[in-house]
This record gives sequence, C-alpha cells and structure tokens, in this order.
Amino acid sequence: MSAIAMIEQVSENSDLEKDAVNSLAATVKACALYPPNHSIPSESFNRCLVSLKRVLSSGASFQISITKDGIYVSETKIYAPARQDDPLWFPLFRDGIVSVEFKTNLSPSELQRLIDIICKHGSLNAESEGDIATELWGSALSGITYRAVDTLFDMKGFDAGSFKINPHGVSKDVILESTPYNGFLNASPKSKDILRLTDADTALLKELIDHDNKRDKDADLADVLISTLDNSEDIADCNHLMPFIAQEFCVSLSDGNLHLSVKMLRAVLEADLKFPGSNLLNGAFWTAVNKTQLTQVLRTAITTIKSPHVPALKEVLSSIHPDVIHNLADCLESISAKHHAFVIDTMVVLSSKSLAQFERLLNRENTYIQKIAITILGMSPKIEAIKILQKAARNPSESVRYNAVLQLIKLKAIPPDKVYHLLNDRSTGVREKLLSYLSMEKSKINEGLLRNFLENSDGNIHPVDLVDYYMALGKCGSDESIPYLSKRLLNNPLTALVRKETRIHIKGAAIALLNIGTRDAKEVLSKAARSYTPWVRAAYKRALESKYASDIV
Amino acid sequence: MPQTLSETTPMAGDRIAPGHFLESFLKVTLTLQLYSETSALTKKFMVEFLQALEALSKTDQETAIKVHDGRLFYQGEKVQPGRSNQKIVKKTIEFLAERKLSGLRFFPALAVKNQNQWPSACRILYRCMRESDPPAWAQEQLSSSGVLWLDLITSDSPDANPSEIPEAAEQQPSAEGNSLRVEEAKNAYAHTLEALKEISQIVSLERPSGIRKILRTVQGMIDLIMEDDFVLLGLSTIKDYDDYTYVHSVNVAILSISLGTRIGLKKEALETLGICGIFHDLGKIKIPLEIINKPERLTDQEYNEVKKHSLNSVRMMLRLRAPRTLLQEILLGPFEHHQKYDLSGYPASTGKASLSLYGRIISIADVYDALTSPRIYRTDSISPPQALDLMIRKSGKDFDPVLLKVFINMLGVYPIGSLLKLNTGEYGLVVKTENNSDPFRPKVLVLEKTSDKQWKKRLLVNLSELNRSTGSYKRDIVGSYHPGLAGIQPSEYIL
Repeated sequence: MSAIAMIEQVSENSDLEKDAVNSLAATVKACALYPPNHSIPSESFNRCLVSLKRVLSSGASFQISITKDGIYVSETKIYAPARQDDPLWFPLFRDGIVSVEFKTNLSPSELQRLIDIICKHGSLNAESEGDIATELWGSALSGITYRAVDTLFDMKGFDAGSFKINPHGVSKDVILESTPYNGFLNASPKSKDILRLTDADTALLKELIDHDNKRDKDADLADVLISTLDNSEDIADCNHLMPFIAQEFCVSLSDGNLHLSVKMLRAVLEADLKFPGSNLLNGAFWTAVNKTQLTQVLRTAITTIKSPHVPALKEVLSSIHPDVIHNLADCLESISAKHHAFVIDTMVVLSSKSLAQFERLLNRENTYIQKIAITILGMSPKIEAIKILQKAARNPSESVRYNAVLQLIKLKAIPPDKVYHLLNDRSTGVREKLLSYLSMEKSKINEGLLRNFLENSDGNIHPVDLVDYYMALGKCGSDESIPYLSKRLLNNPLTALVRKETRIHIKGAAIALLNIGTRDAKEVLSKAARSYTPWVRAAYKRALESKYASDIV
Repeated sequence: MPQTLSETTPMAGDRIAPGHFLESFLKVTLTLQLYSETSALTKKFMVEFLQALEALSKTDQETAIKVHDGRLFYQGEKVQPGRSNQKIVKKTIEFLAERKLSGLRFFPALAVKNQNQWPSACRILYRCMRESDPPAWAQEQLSSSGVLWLDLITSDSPDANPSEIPEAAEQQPSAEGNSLRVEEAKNAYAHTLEALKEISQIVSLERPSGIRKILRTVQGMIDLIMEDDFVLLGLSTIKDYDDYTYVHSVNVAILSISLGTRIGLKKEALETLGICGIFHDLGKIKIPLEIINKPERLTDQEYNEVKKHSLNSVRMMLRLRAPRTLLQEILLGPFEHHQKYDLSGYPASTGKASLSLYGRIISIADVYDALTSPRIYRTDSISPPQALDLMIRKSGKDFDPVLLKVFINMLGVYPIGSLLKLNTGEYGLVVKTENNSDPFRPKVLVLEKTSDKQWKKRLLVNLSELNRSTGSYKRDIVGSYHPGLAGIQPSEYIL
C-alpha cells in the first residue's frame, strides 16, 4: 500500500470512528429526551449501531477513552463535549469510566443496555455511588468492556513477604514434635454421609434463598438501626444514627409501613430517656428529618391511609416532635376536606405537648392556617394558650387579632388591662366583637372599663364608632354611669355648636341612658327631652327611635 | 523451579532419560508399522527398547507418559522441550493424539518378560487409528492378546491428569492463563486490603468515606471467583498477625463470595455479600489493641468491649457514602455475624425469626477464618480440618447446617492450605480439592525440609491415587497441622 493510500485509509477510519461516537452521543441524547417507543431514538439507535458495526468491520475492537476534555481514540480527540453536562461524555467521565471498548461481537441489545445505563445515570447531578461502572459490571456485556478509575489499582502491589503468619515465632521444628490432629471428620465413617448434600438440603437451600429474596429490607434496616440505637451508650453515637433513622422513618411513612414508623419513633423516645436533659435525641432526630420531604410524605400518608391504620398514623404523629404541626399545616392546604378533620384532630393532640408551634403558625400569611391555629389554641386548657391568644390579639394581622379576640371572648379571658388597646383596634370587626362581648350582660367591670375609655379617649375614637361604645356602655352599665352620661348629655350644649364630636357624644349618652333604662336614667332622659337646645332633644328622639327599632329587630 | 530432566543422555543418574525412552518406543512402534519383526532395523530398535525397559525396571514399577493441556509428562514430570528432544516430544504428542489417547502406562518388568507380545501390541496401536473409537478398540485387542505390560490412558481414565508431578510442573501447563489469573487475584487481594485499610482509617476519624474503590475490588474478586475460585481461595489462606483484622476481613469476603457462588447467588448478591464480608469487622478497629492482642483470657468487661464490634461495624459503615439501597443490603450481614443461627449470640435479637442469608454465610466464613488464624491468645494453632470439625459440631446451633455442608464441600474436608502428615512420613500442603472428587483425598504438595530448615516444594501428588500392585492408596493422611506451626504461609506455596 502506498503512503498516500495509507493516509487515506487512516483518514477514512478516523471519520468512521468520529461518526460512530457522534451517533452514540446523538442516540444517548435522543433516548434521554424521548420515550422509548418514539421513532427518533429508535432511528438514532439504528444509525449508531450501523456506524459502530462499520468501525468494527475491520475485525478489531474499537476502544474510546474518556478524558477530562473529551473522548479520544488512541490519541486523537474525536468527540468534544458541547457543554459541561454533555449527555454522553459527562456521565462517563463523572463516574470514572476511563475507557469503553466495543468488541466485534457487539449485539444490539448490549448497545441498548449501554445507552440505557448512560441515560439513567446521566440524569444524576450529584456523584453517585451506584454508578455506571457497577451497572456495566452487573450487566456482564460480552461485546462491551470498560475500565474505571478505581479498577486501575493505583495502590501498591501484592507483597507476600509482608504477611506474618505466626505471632509466637515458633521454631520450625515444632511440627516434628507435635501430634497431628486427626478428628471427627477424618476419622468418622459417617463423615461422608454427614457431608452429602441431600435433595432435602437442596430444597432447604432454595427455600432459604427464595425467602431471603422476599424479606422486608426496610424492616431489616430499621431493626439494625434500632438495635444499634438501643445499644448506644454515648449520646454522640445516638446522634450519629439520627439522620439514618429519620430517613428510614420518612420512607416507612411514605410506604405506609406505619408499624415501622412507630417502632422507630418509640426507639428514639426510649433512647432519649437514657440521657439527662430529655428530648435531646428527639430534637436531633427532628433536625435530621428533611422537612420538605416530610410534608410530602405526610400528605401521601394522610391521603392514602386506610381506616384500620388511622390509629397507628395518629400515634406516629402524636409521638413525633411537635414541630410536625408545621408540616401538618402545610398539608392542610392541599388535602381534601375529608382529611382535614384527621389533621386537625392530630394537631389538637399535638397541642397538648407544645403550643409554641401554634404561635409560630400565626405568623404565616395564610388566614386559614391562622384561624385553625387560633381555634386549636382556644381549645387548649392551658394558661399558656390564653397568653398566646392575648398576644395574638395584638398581632399585626387583622384576621389573627379578630380570631384571637373571638377565642378570648369565648374563653372569657380578656383581662381589663388588655381591653384598652383592643377598643382602639384598627379593625372594625375586632372592635365590634369586643363591644358586643363587653355588652353581653350587666357588668360593673365592663361598665367601668368602657366609661373610663370614653372619658379618656376624647378625639381618639372614630366618630362613626362612638355611638357603639355608648350603646355597649348602656347595655352593660348601671346607675353608676348616670352622672357621667348626664354630664355628656346635658352639660355641653354650647360646645356642641362648634364640635360635631360633642354632638355625637350627646347622641351616644342618650342611647346609653336609654339602654341602662333605670328610673334615674329615664329622669336624665326626660331632662334631655325638655332641653332648650335642639340637638339634645334630637339626640333623645333618635335614641328612642333606634331603641324602638332594635327592640323590634 | 521445575526439576530439570536430562534431555539427551540415556541415563541421568540412576534413571533413564525420558527422551531416550520415548525415542526407543516410537522407533520400535513406527518401524513395526513398515517392517516385519525379523528385519534388521526392527531388531536393532527392539534391542534399544529392551535396554530402555530393563533400565526402567530397575527404578520404576511402572512408567507413565501423559499429555495434559498439550504438554507431555513423563512419570508425572513435565518434559521440558529442548533443542535435542523437541522433535521426540512433538512426535509422542502426535502419536497419542492420533489414537485419541491421553497417555500410556508401561510396566517395564512385565514388558521385558513378554517381548514376544511387542509386535502385536505395536500393530494394535497402529491399526486402532482406523477405528471409530481407537482407545476402546485398542484396549479390547490388547486385553484379548493378553498384553498386561501396557495400559492405555484415555481422557476418561481417573488418572488422565498428571497425579504426581512436581508442583511447578503443574503450573507450567497453564502458565500464561493461570499465572495471569494468579497475578490478577494477588492484585485484587492486595488492593482490597489497601482499600479496606484506607476506608477504615477515614471512618475511624468519623469522616465519611467513598465506597467505590471497594466496590471495584469486590467486583474484580467476584469475576475471578466465578471463573475459578481456586486462586482466591488459595489467597484466603494468608494469615497476618499484625494486620489480622484487615486480612481476616478480606479472607471472609473471599470465602463468603465463594460460598455464595456455590449456592448459585447472582452477581449483584455476591457483590453485597463481598462488601458485607469486607466490612463485617470494621468495628474492631475501635477496640483497643491491648484487648485484641491480649494473650490471657479476657475479663468480662473486656469481652463486653469486644462484643460491641458488630454494632460498631454498623456505625462505621453508616459513614460510607453509599446509596440507601446498597446500605440497606450491606448492614445486615455485619450486624448479624455473631448472632448465631439459633439467635443466641450478640447483639441480642429482638423479635427476629431467623438470620438473613448473608448473616448465615458471613458467620460461617468468619468463624472458619478466625479459627484458622493464629492468634496470640491461642497457643494451640487450629488446623483447617480441625476448624471444620469444631464447626460441624455446632451445626444447627451456631451455623446453618445446609450452608455449612456446602462450605465444607467447597473447601474439602482438608481445605486448601492444610498441612497434612502422610503415612509415608511426608508432609503435604493441600493445594486443591477437585470438584466432584473425593473430599477426603485432596491434591497435596509434598514438602521437604532443606538443610537450612526451610520447606521446599518437592512433589505434587493426588492422594486418591492407588498403588496398582496392592490396590490400596499410595498415601494416607495421618493427621493435619496448622501450617503456621511450621512457619508456612500456604499461599506462598500454593500459588
């Protein structure tokens, strides 16, 4: 062959090799993008197979080397990755595949397997330990071989002399002086029978292997972790186990293996008892739980649970760290009404352990969750709950304040010193609720509060609401307020000429007196009816009308 | 080094040179194909053959020539083809191949007495080539002619393979393939050991460690074992006092993978099993060396400390950067390896019905290797057969009885690396227990002591070989020793 012919031949071979690798890359890409039955990956695969077969037709195998900057054949770069996450080069390089060799006996199914493996691992971003090399090894492809970084054995070689068999440094003549062992197996005539594998043995072996293939690996792992935790005497050892227990806990919940979840939680709680400063482990366990994952897991568990397992799930959730309330609250947003009751029930159970989480729920911007939290706080018998509600009554959120006040009213737990700021609340709803609460019945305390508030809040109350305050005072009030109301009604006729607010006070005082309804109150009102100033008389008249109207209602 | 055989000189010391005997035999046989026994040439060659037989009869009761793997063996020794005998060796191999024979066995004394049978015997050997089953036809003809001084060895014969050949000679036949495999196995062993040490050091510092290197080495070991477990089982006889835990772990991995292979586990399961074996004693590095190497009996407190190692192994394995699916598989074996078949061991089992398959396998491999490893606290070294004896007594209690049976069948009653005393006064190191052969009669490497008290390889013998004249075995086993007792590291001799 002439030199020119040889050059042409080499060039042609190089083109074929380039074509083969490029078509392999295209196929990997197509397989990653399209479903398996799509025509594009299928056509691409056929092209790739043809290209590779063309290279292999020379009778020699075809080896590609994967380096940090591309794919080489011998020392020629034949494929440069288009980008860092190139679908062919990246997974091979990342997983430490140094070379791939296609043999002349390459079959289509083997090529497909290689492509499937690359696609499967190509989608992983993090370095994976269950990697391409292991999959290729497991697949035992006769037409494709590979070398991986760690199979290159860059460590020191075998040194037979480095092994010391005898610790005693015995003389080599010892053997001549000692009696050789001639025991049971050698001496017994029955040994052969003992060692013979019978059909029954073979059947047992098969059964053992079958049984082992079916064993519950999750349960086994949980048992190992629990047993290790049980036997840990050091808090650091226990803490080290927590991420694994947390992970298995989430897996068991997600798979509906609630008995395992319960088992693991109990183990954590029991282990906690071993160490002073309780709940250290549960805290560590909770820290280790992936919260995003947990919400998803809980959502699945709650929505798929079958009724016999409900108590188990409740036990799990009520045993878990109280912070799970936040995950449950997250679940509330995306589950059907049917499952709400279960979640809320669980949250109520959890409230008996800790209320701090409910206080934090109030900071969420979700009014529904806030309302649920306040409702549950309202159900709690703990004083801490009332304190949280009282604090919530000053929450920036109008809704929180409103619901908190509502609960406080229900609990009759609004202390006098907390009333002032509520009477001044920006929210009409809050104010209305409070006034309605204060005016529910005759109460000297409420009367005093309202009267005091009215006396000291000149100019601070919106004129629209002022009448409501007087009405509330009237409903809960008594003759004790008559001097104040009489003064408001009758003593400022001239000021009322210039100040609209004074006129409203007059109107309010008339309404309050009418609601007090005592003889003394009526006397004051009769004075108002006879007043020489028209707006006092008018106030009396409007009070009568509104009273009449509300009575009818 | 293989023993050198004199190639051309008729006599080397007291023995006749194989080249000379073969040449005289071929000459007489081939001449008789062409000429009558009365021809001068035939007579000349018959005299030469007679001289060779007479010389032989003084030293050997029988003389065997065999072909194995394309190599010629004379009296069990490989005939090294040299410049002068190359042609004879080639011709002899062709002679046997044309007749579909693996070899011939001569009884020289008988042959000398029955010279009159030579022509007919040689003609039978010539004519048989035309028959459809040359060995069967020839054997029948020889028998009917009353020829007792010549035996035909066929591939079916129990002694078709060289049974008594110097150890180096047996390795030669498969020199290239076998030595490559041995090198690969040695590398795999060394690298697994190194990788294990590396990982142990990292996790003992409570740092996470990758597992990929160990995966690769275990995968390599599995490939080797699936091909032929002999080499790695040979390496598993390595014992090391200083690095006991690491060497023991690699040995347990090899033994476990081999046992797994025997019971037909798939590659992926073998991989898991291998990793279980490698890491089963990882927790031992947390035990103070004073306890591990304490010559006296351990106190209760010290023993309790030792008992923590299974769980410590689990704890340390949790520092491996392994995917959950792999971790899920590999923790159980190390966790269970001291729990015992009847669950009476440690750590105490809670509510478990039985040990997993991996736990059962690892516990067998672990105890076997531990028993056969010389330890400072054990003054009496336990020989491999003795270890198996001890184990079989605990079958059904400590060990799964069926798996233990498979294990013993795999290793043989005299496992590879056992040092045997023979009734001939010789010492033999077990090098192989052939599949399907008598597990009580392995192949051993006869060792002899040199003047400087070193053990030297002398002869490879198959203990199932019979003495033709008496019908009894040529050699019997008197008993076994731990090779460490003689300072022997078996792998140095076996591979």
